[in-house]
Amino acid sequence: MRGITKQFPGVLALSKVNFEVRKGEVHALVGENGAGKSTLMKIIAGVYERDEGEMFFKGQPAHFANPHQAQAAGIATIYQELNQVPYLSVTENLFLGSEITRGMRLDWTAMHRKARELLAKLHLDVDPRIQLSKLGVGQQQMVEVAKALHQNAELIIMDEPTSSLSIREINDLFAIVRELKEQGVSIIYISHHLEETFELSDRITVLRDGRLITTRPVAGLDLNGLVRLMVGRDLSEKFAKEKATQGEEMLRVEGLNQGTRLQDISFSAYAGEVLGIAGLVGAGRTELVRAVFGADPIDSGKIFVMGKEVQIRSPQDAIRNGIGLLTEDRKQQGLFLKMNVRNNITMAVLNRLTSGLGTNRRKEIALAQSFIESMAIKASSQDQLAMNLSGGTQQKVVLSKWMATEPRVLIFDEPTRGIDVGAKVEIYRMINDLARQGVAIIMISSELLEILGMSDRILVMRGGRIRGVLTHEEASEENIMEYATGVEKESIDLFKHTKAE
Amino acid sequence: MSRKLVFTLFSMLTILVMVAGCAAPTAAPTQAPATQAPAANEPAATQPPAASSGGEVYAGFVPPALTSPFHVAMADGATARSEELGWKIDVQAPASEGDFAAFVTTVQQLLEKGVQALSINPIGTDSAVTAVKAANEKGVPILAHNFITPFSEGEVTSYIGYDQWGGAEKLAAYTCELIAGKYNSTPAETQGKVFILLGIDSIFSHRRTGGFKAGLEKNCPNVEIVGEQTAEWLRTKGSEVATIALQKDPDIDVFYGNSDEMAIGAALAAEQLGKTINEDFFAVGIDGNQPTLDLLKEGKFSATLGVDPYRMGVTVIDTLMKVLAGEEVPQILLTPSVVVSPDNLQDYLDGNLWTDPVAGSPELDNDQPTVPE
Amino acid sequence: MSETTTSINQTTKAAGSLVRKLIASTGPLLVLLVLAGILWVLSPPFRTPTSMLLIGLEAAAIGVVAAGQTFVILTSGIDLSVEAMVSFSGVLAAVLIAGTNVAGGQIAFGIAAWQAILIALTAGALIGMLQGLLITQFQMNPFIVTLGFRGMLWGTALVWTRGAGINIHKDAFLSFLTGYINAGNLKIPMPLILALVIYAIVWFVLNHTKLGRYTYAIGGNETAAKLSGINVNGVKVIIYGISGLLAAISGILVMGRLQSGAYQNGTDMTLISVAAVVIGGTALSGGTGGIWGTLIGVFIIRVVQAGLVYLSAPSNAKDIVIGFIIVLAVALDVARRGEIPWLQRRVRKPKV
Repeated sequence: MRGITKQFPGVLALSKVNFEVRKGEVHALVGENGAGKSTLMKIIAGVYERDEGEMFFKGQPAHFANPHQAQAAGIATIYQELNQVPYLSVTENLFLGSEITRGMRLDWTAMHRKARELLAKLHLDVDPRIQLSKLGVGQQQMVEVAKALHQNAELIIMDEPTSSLSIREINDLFAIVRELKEQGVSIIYISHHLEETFELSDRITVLRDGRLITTRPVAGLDLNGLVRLMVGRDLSEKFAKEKATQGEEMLRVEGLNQGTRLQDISFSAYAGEVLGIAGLVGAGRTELVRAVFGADPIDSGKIFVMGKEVQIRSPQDAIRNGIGLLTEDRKQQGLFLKMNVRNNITMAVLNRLTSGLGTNRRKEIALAQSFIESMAIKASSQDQLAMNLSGGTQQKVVLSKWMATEPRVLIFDEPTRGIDVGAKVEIYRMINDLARQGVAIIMISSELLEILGMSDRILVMRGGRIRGVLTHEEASEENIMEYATGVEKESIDLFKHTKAE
Repeated sequence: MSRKLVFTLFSMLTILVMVAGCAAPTAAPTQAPATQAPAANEPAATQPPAASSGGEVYAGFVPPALTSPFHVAMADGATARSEELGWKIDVQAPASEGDFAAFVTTVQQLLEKGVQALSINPIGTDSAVTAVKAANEKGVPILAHNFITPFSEGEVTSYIGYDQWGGAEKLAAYTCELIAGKYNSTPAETQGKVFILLGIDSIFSHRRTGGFKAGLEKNCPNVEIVGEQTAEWLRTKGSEVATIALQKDPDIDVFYGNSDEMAIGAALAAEQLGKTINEDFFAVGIDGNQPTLDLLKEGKFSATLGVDPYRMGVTVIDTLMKVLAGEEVPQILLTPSVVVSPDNLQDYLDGNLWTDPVAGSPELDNDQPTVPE
Repeated sequence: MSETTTSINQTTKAAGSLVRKLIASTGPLLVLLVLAGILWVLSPPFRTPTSMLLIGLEAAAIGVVAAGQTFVILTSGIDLSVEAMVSFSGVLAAVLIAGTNVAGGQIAFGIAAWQAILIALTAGALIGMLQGLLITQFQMNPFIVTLGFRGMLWGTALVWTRGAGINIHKDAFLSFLTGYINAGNLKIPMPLILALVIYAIVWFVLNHTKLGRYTYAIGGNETAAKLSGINVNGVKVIIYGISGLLAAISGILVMGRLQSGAYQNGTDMTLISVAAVVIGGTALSGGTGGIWGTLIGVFIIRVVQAGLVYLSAPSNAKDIVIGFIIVLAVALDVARRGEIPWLQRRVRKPKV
């Protein structure tokens, strides 16, 4: 690809990017969120059309007006957001769009057989006739890989393929990638997990702000150097953690129960401290914070804010008592994509911003402006629509919304998911600042290093209960995992997957 | 940006073409006949347009809607007669019969277009008063057709229509004969079961039901009415209601519908349940529409009250002609209705059964016959 | 010298972008102006003050209903009961003013028009709020709930009127409400003025009050709205109440104009109100759109309907043309928002 440029409303996604992949090569594509990796790949896959530039595939000029054409040419894409139909079976998903027919009828026997072959290659011990939704997310992702294999692609694009995989599945995936390489298939590999790219790829291309920074072989590149290329600046100490002085008790939960999902939850959160909540998917962490926030009803239990018992039956009650929640999925649950930055920021505090009959526009503008400045929100103006912002900027907008409520307790559910390295640092800094100002922070995270780095204390959950409470000094990857999985320390090594950062 | 403009302009052109295409069949009314009152300046409202005796007249004709063959036939009759006379007729109606506001607006818009005379057929009775008064203000003679219940306000030169009560009575009399025939008895003695399908509650359903019941009383007092249900003037509903009725009472002899369509629906339902029309049961109704007449010919219907909407439409234009010529016309003009069976079907179609309209009394919603006994 | 040139350039640029913005944001308005222009040229009767009056009257009645519908659709709901509410409120007021035959006995009331109107409006608001309660507290689909109420309201009106319209004589107040003011050569109907006042109020609420903001929020992302502390259920109840109230107001206007409370008074108003909202640029999925667009949509529909009469188009073509306009307007709107893939900018030749 040469000189590729792509413009979206308000955003120049790619600017004159050159990119090439050799046969049988694993080529990693890295960059912060908003750097343009996905856009570039979508142009290759036929989802977008380039505004300028040329593209060649196997030496011939190539132009794909839609994904079907790209697929027909031999390019397969495995997306981060799975393109699957959960209610259909594995086989049906695998053969979506390329069904085997006998005359007019669909030949299910042949399809099931082929499906089993494909799955076997990936060591997926799954009956292809069962509904896709019954598989775990990791397995679903492997089915995506199988689909790409089935299409006999010569170029496979993998966009964050390991985000939901377990250690064992990741190893399986790597083995397959290596196999494909030997068969001469080229692979473009996009991942936030930089150590994976080191392990797997031959060359790395770095994008930043829509521009090509460099393309070079992996050998001879070190992690810090790579990060510096991505971010454009030195990555100073990431988590900026200071020893926190535990202040007043802001929130206390006693004996909270919710059906079978939460059992006998009791804990406290203090001003000035970051309380991390760790655990595996399904442990009940999100359920817990939603219950405290009043988003879901509880069966029994008491909640105290600053020592006084309160009734929290709705998010309104929670906000009134100074509790805020930044949800896991900010786009679905935290942002109003069709509204502008200002309206998003002021949404939770409109009561304060009304005067007389209606909303006081001047006060709103002032409030929004103050946050845009203090949070360094990268937007063209207050009127820019939220859907046009990058992931990190969106998160800052959501954070601003909650800070506007002047909370005593602020809960973050996976605050840095899907956010690039540079923006992550900013978010950590803000969290620490908030804590310093006396807010009690509760943070759910699935990234062990993040939890270990940021928290003063850590609650570990499993099966709806709190299994362990660790201080910053006590906590380690091992004992967190121990509580989270209920498995003894020795067996942990089997699952250990070091992330060198 | 230019793309949006192109799109906009293109779509405008499309609409224009569509609308113009619709306008093609009837000449655009922008060429006003010399006798037309000026339309551009409002203050001239009280000046009546000069009536042209024998010259071209621009007349308006407003059915409640053109969604039923009855009203279409009436409009056809009026149109045919207008063409014979060399008049220009403008048939306009709302899209659905229930849209009274649109009905009134349409009348007023026709007045704006400069009609010199018009005839309207409102269902919403008094809601048409506004329209009538608008015509009065402009001095445009206005008739009401298919309707002989005078409005509470407004001056209508003549109400032309048929006597629903009387017609229903006639139909009932014939029905008695049919039942008597089935049981080899006389109408005065015979027993039997009749099920009535009502239209939506309105003066129309009241009058037709009232007349039919009175007719049964008079001619076959031993025949009982086993049920009355609304079928909302619809064939589908008639079918549903009849099916249920037959479950309860399989021996129903006659299905009578305030309208043909409902009775036809009932007939179909009965056939489904294995009954044979004109042997096991009879279906009778009011309207005399073409679909009904076709069924009569095939022997799939028993009898209908033919009111000959086509010739009623002709009568409307003839009456307008008289009014414009300054002649006196009766306030109520009764058009004939006749019971049509397969025997006299051809005569009916040929118009042999049509009698000249006569002056009569208004039809009121008072449970009394229109024509006093 | 260069400074003035730059400022001239800037002004031209600013003017250019303003014009661009106007065109971009007024797709439906453009449609309306072009349509009206075409009819103006083709049909002299269209140009008369009475003709304008009639269009204004028709627009006012449906316009008020459409304003309420706008609120509801903005929250990605829908109110199918409006046409029945129009009938019901007119009938209720007529009954209170003139009495009725129920079950054979004559019930005579005879209260003043303004009292009857007040009662009818209150009933409209309460019934609307009741629908809102059912929708929120019982998690029922708005489509179903409002459809059910449509039946109930219509049926009640039918029963009370026994199929015949209830005639009323207008007293001073009602005549005032349904009369018109003379402004030079033009006659402006009071209902239209009333409708415009209502639209102005609705505009204010939607754009400058919490209720309006929350309405857009709920339509845009109901989950996020709830989690931002908005009382979603409360807002929805109020909105359906508003829709009921506005439909009731329209019912009074129609009843007044026809001098008769008949169960058919609201015929076709549901679908036309939804069409007007959509033509005006509010998506059925909610969250975007505005009230002035709805007004333009209302006028487009009424102008077209009038045009069909003035151009002597066959009456049964009305449905076809209106349907066509709806599809066209929505397509235009989607195109304007840049959401049609094959209309997006294509590849330009690279400069080698």
